[in-house]
Amino acid sequence: MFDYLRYKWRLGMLAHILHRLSGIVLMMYLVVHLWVTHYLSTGEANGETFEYLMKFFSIPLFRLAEVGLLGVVLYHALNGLRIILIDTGWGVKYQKTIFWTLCAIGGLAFLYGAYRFLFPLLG
Amino acid sequence: MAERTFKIHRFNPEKDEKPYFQEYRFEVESGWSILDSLNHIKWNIDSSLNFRRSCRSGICGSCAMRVNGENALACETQVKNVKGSKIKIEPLPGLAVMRDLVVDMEPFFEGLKKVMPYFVTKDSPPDKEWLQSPEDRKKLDEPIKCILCACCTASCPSFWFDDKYVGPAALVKSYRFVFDSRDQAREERLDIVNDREGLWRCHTIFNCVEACPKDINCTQAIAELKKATVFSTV
Ligand code: HEM
Ligand code: SF4
Ligand code: SF4
Ligand code: FES
Repeated sequence: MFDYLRYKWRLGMLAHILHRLSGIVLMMYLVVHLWVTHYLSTGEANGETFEYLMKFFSIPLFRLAEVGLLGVVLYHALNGLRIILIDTGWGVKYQKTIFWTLCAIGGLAFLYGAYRFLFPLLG
Repeated sequence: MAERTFKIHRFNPEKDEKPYFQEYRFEVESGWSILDSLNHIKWNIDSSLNFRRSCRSGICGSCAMRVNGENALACETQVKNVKGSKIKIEPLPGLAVMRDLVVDMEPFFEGLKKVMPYFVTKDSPPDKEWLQSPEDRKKLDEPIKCILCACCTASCPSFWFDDKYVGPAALVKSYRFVFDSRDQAREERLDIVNDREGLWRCHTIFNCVEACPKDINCTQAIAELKKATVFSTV
């Protein structure tokens, strides 16, 4: 396998590997997310556990992690759109231009999002 | 004239336990391709070096190998266009090495055989030939350039991990018949490629497009087949 990874890396390979990694991160996040939100419905002392967890997750470390998650979501969603375009035969010749255009859009959205997430921390 | 170093993958299953790299350094004459350089080694330096070649002009598809990490035809690659202090030459990845730069092409041809790489007609033949309009013929310009060199299929990560995947070359061949106005087996063809070892193994990584010496956009062909499959089954 590592022998294969010595094959020359081009943009398509990078986009694919990042897509797979971001997909796996999203899967892991989804599990945690479902676990946390399920406390809303357990009725355990009127969602006390949920409130407790929400407090726990409001510390700055998790704020930062949220910014990271935003980046992962943006990458996966936007490159996911690129893959859907390619799979349906649109702009296959321009896959690289599409990639960098979406990166620019994603980058702007990321900066705005990061500002909104972190602004309360700056007080 | 310039001195260049070639770092070449060597393996003789009768003698060697493991593959190794051997370096050759010599004067490369202007205009030499990678294949000319390999011939120079074989004829003047080390006759034990093995590689496949035949036409030396980009027609037969025999001389596909990995040059500095990326698949290419040795005969179509000019040495002066290859950067780096050493030119690293390896066999095609994803296929078993039989000797030095020679790989077992069987899985590649197995994939090709699966897609019925021949004309199928059901009507009785016309008096003369099967006619086709220039517009319909134009649709085949790209896929008929394929020389079955395997640069694409052997560059595809999906094929490396699963050599039952028919691979981009076979899918380009399937495209060549599915979109030929004279062929009469469209449904069967789409049925064959609509498979987990067919179209749906492709993750749009584009290694095949980067590698194809004939500038065939394999991924576009695969996308058109994906679309044709989806719209013929819904
Ligand atoms: C905006 C929403 C999303 C879009 C447009 C999207 C798009 C895609 C596409 C097109 C693929 C196929 C990739 C390929 O063929 O290689 C894919 C794979 C994947 N997605 Fe998403 N996705 C989205 C949301 C999610 C979410 C929320 C998760 C996590 C729960 C997720 C997890 C995955 C995983 C694990 C893969 C497999 C990765 C791979 O095969 O390389 N995706 N996604
Ligand atoms: S599509 Fe291109 S790379 Fe693939 S076998 Fe044909 S000529 Fe070679
Ligand atoms: S685009 Fe599809 S067929 Fe071509 S290398 Fe990538 S996964 Fe393989
Ligand atoms: S020797 Fe025939 S394609 Fe290179």
